[in-house]
Amino acid sequence: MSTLQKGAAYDNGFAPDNVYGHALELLQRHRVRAEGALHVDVGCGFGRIAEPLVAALGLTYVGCDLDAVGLNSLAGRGFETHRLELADEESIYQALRAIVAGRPVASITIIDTLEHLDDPAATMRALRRIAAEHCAFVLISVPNTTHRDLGFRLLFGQWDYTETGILDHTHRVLFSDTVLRQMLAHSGLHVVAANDVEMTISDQAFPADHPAFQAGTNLHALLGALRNQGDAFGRTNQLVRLCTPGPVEAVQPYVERVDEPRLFLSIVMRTQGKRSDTLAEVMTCLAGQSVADFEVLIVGHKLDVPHQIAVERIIEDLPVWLRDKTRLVRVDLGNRTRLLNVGFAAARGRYIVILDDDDTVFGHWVETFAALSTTAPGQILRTVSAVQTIRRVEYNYAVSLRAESGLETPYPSQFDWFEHLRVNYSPGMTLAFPRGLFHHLNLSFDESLTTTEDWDYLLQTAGLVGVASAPDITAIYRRWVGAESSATVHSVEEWEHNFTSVQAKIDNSALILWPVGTTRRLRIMLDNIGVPERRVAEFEARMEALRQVNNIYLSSTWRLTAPVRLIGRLLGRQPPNPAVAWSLSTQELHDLASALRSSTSWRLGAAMRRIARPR
Amino acid sequence: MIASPLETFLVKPAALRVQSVLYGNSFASVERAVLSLGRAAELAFASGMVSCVELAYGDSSPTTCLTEAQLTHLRGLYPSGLTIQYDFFNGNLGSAGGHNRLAAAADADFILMQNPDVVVSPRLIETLLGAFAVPGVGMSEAKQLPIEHPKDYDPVTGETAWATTACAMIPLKLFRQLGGFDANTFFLYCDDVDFSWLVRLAGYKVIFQAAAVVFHDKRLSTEGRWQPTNSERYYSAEAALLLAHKWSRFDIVEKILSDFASHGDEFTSKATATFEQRRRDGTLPTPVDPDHKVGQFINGFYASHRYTL
Repeated sequence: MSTLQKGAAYDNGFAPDNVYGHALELLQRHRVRAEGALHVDVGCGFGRIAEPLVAALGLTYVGCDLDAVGLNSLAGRGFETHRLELADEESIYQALRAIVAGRPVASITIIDTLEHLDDPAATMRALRRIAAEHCAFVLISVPNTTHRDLGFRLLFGQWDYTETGILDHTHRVLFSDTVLRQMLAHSGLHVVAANDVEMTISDQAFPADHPAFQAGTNLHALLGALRNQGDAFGRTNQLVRLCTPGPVEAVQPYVERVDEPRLFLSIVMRTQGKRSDTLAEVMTCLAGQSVADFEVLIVGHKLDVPHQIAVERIIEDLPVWLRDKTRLVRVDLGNRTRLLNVGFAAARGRYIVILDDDDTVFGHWVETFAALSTTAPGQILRTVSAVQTIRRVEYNYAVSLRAESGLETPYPSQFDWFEHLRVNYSPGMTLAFPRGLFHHLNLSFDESLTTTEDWDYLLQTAGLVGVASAPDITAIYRRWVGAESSATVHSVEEWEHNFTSVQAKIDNSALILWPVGTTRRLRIMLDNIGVPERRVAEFEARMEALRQVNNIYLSSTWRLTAPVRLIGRLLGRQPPNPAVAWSLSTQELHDLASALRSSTSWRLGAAMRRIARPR
Repeated sequence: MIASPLETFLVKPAALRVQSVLYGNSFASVERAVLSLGRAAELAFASGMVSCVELAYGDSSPTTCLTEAQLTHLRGLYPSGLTIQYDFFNGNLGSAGGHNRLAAAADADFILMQNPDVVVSPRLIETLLGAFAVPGVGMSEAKQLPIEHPKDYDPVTGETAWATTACAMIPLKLFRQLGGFDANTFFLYCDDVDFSWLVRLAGYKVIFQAAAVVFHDKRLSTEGRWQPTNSERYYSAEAALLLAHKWSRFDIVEKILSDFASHGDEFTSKATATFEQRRRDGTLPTPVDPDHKVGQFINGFYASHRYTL
């Protein structure tokens, strides 16, 4: 269908919070006002924006459409109207030139129209030519088919057109923010402002009783949280953009998919340039890697000129093959967590790992990650680090490091999600994150955290993609003695605050997919809750029963009545044997104590106990 | 002219010969090493510390480790900064014998002995040479990463008991003056300990240069322990006996033999047998340092160690 015919179903009134109101607000914000100039409304329908627009901007409204019903309505309200068919670029351009007829044009709107056309780019190009001749604004509005409600439905196999709305049955092209931007770039229209219409519950939120749409469900929270990680348009109902005509970009109106080959690993290394000796050491370790499919992003934090030169010299010193893989990215703002976001954003690799400038790595560090990636694609890759204390030494005019301890291995060989909920057992250089977490799910490091930011990131991401572990020790975390490090720079209070913040975040996150086996582990943990207390209580009850039996056997009256029991035995009776008391259960001990108290010996002794009792 | 401990060996610019003994090394590991060494040579040239750098490979492998094409490739990496010699020994001369043979053909001020898979840091050559600015320094040793050797050194002067030739620099004049490595006694291990002690016995210092860094591709077990190979276990056991004998610590020899007999394994048994055979044959080295001025035998090591690996 190359033409547009709208019926009464599209007679929507003007409201400040609908697409007309948003469009007008944009035009007002940009002071689109020129006495006597035209405002051309392409695909105007009933033109319900006309009256408020004229009142607000003082322009001459001209409505253009193919549908006579809308045009008649406008004409009846006193506005100039023209029949316009939106077909190919040239015919649209010529038709609009004829409509304008040499009069100045201040602005053009095309609202809820492009999506009905077979070739919306042709119309955009024609509008651009007219706008360019008059230095006019072009305001475009299209429905957003990446509204989260469509995603929720599609996830469960539901895709339905409706009479009107985001999936109007007459729509020919489905728009998203990126589709619109691509088409605008192709057409030479450049967005200068946006005023999208947000709508949490769209006309696609049906059936309303579907768990995905019910606000109280875990499913709704999870899907909503996932959609929020995609982009900022999950609740956008209509994309409303103000454009100006400009250069035409040499791009197609659609995306040309290119799966560019990526290197394996991006190594993000934060530095202040103060430890050029350690930086040189770790770069030497990277020069010795058995797998060289990596790049190094040295992210320099607030480097003054001497420190910048020191870092640049280290890079310049590298052998060419490694120098070509190494980039210095300077960051002058933010805290040390900011550096990670900058580094991850600049990373080109399929996986991204943090390596501090005072760590060292073994020759199979990259190799082990690479091997893991083939067995668990997309998961976070984890190896193991040893720990060694170091201190700085200086002689012969050279500063360097001296190891002060053996290699400790405090970190577990396998990743345990539950244990990591309590404390971080995975130093940064032992974790390679798949790039999609940062670049597609938009999961970035929390810059409100000045420490433990890597732990927080692991907790935020591990539940989504899982963690694949290799037990190999591939790195050494170096712990400083007598020198500045993050452990000493930040106060205990700061560490504690960050620690509790990380825990609070994970406690409130809807973005956790618990690994398989979680329910079983939880069940075992719940089963074990209270077991020690129960065992102590049982033990104490048994000890009390034993004590009662023992008191009877050790009492003087029991001993004095021994002849009575001797007579009993001679008569064939079997009095209880004290030696077996320890093997009896608690209940059996209680029964024994009762039997002893009701025995002839004990009853005979009662008189003696009364006599012996002090008065 | 015989060198004196009161003099400094440092000359600027110095002619440097780097030598490595190959035995079945992969081309990839050799190439990695050359790529870094060539850059270190370029920087040493630029700083005026060296006049030329020659890399000499001796190949103890059963068949050649490097093909002609691979050698051509390696020579093309730094055509103006690094000349590469290659000598196929057609026999396994071991570490000591291989280095002696390579050094015999050397024409340089210093020789830098290193394992063929060692990856040097860019400023390694300058830093190791810098140690010789101090009079009396006869040997300078690089720091290995990621596993730093635990033997102790003076944190102020860098003086240490011995230097490992995984990467160590020696003035060629001194090397020849001391007769090179004792290849008749040591095959793979302790040749460097023995040589270091000879350097010290001659009155020179052995310096550990912590700022001279090399990457040596050693790995740990998943439990974090050192993983010696079978040949390392055998040759280190044999060398322990021979070193103790040569440095006149006959008490240590007997203790080692006793320990091997009571707690040993197949490797120590073989080492014991070899030692006893040499004793019977009269081919043990002539003992030196009778007053124990240099040789150190501390808890099974040849220096005091800062920590245990």
